[in-house]
Amino acid sequence: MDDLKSFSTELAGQDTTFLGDVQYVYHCHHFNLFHDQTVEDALGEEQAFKVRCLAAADAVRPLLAGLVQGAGANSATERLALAGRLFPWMGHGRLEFQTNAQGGQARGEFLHYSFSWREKYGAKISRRHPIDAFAAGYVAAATEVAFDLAPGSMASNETSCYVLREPSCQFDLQAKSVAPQPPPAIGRAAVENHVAAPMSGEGEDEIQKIASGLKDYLIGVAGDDRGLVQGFGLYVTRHLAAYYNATAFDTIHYIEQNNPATTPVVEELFGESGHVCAFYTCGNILMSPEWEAMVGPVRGETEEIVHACVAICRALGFGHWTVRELVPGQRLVMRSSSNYEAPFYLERYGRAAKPRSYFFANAARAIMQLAHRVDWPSRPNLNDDLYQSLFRTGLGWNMEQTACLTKGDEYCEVVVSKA
Amino acid sequence: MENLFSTVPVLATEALRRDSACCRDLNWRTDLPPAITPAPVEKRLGRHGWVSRAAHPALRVLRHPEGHEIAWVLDSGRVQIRVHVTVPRDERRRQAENLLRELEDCL
Repeated sequence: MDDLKSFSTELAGQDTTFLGDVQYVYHCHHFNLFHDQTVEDALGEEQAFKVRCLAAADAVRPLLAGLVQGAGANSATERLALAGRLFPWMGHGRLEFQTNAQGGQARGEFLHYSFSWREKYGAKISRRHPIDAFAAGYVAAATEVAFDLAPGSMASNETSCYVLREPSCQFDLQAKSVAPQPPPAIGRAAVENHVAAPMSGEGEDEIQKIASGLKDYLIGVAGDDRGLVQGFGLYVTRHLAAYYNATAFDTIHYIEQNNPATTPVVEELFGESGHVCAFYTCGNILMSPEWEAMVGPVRGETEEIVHACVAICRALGFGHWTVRELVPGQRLVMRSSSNYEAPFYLERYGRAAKPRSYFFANAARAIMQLAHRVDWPSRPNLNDDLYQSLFRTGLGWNMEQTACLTKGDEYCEVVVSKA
Repeated sequence: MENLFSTVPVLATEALRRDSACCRDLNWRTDLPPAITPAPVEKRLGRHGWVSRAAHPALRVLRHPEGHEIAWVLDSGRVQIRVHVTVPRDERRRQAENLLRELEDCL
């Protein structure tokens, strides 16, 4: 799948990555499950599946259309083959298509969401609804692109799911009688329109150097035969920013309009996904042999951890995050000229009345927690028990978004201060 | 040059301990003497089907045919044995021990 690497590009100085014309980031299964669980908590499982499936199809369609064009894949067979190769490269498992212009079926194995849900929760709880909405949307978009169908013309449903303890995942596709008009894709040029001038902050040289090394390493990480991608000892996905953004913002907007009293709860939960990411992804990367070899053993100093986490976030494509001010034990001010939330928001919904960079802001708070409350030299196991003790018993840090690109400010800024 | 430890057992499964991991019991740690030269070990592992997955001057990452991995920090000798996530949870330690023995055979 090395040839797909050649489609990956970066917006200079902004730490944002694109596959073809579509922005992508790296996220692990802990974040992905938490994010999608929040959509389910807010909307209910059935409605959430529809929202997630639609967001997936809308995010995947322009990606596949661009790759098909770039690869010169003219026949439906070639296009479906390309879609079948891209999916595991993204770390989402394996898909086999038996689809045509009228619909058909697809079969999935080791699908990221169902497989990782069983791994994380399966020993403790059962689930009653299929979970692979992203794969369902992917299958629909791939079929539309393969057969030159109108965007949004395929309906996809997961009829069998590994998460329900069935042997594999099955998808049923049917042509819709009326195809809804999908929203315009948000490509590289649109993202470029909504980022600020590149900036620097404290520890810039060190952060830049580490981020650069991590990026070089990450792009070379290939999936295995099952379509799972392991980097730094973590199972990660190369996932589409538009998927996260559409699911989060559409959900929050729905709640704001229909159940406004619960809006703060939903915002808090989407924000907590930033805690989940910082803890599991940044934390496990810091503890990995790769980090030890490329950067050195973690000493556990506050400044070291903050700079390291910012470098990791840049390498994962989260945007050009900088440290404006760090007072150990007291205060962290982070500023970003780009993140993966703001350009999407501005392009799809217009200027916001309040800050909307939920992930950026809450990741900053989590970074302070990691820098002050984890005994790194003792090499802790970053498991659910430690997460609960660090993030569910009072963080000890206040957080405020003091500027946000989504509001029309020149940059995003978050101030984290001791509670 | 062959390493000096090739005839001496340097690892013991009792020394295997949990390493930080994104999933329970996937990653296990052991330590090799830092003096071991990587190239001969890689070559022997290659005969068992292991392939190099990442090349870095300070690091080796090798993948087993079944998807397990070894990540080896050359300076410190730290080795992380990564059992593939498809291995059932209660079999992961045993799998890690098997991989450790395979590594030891190749030292």
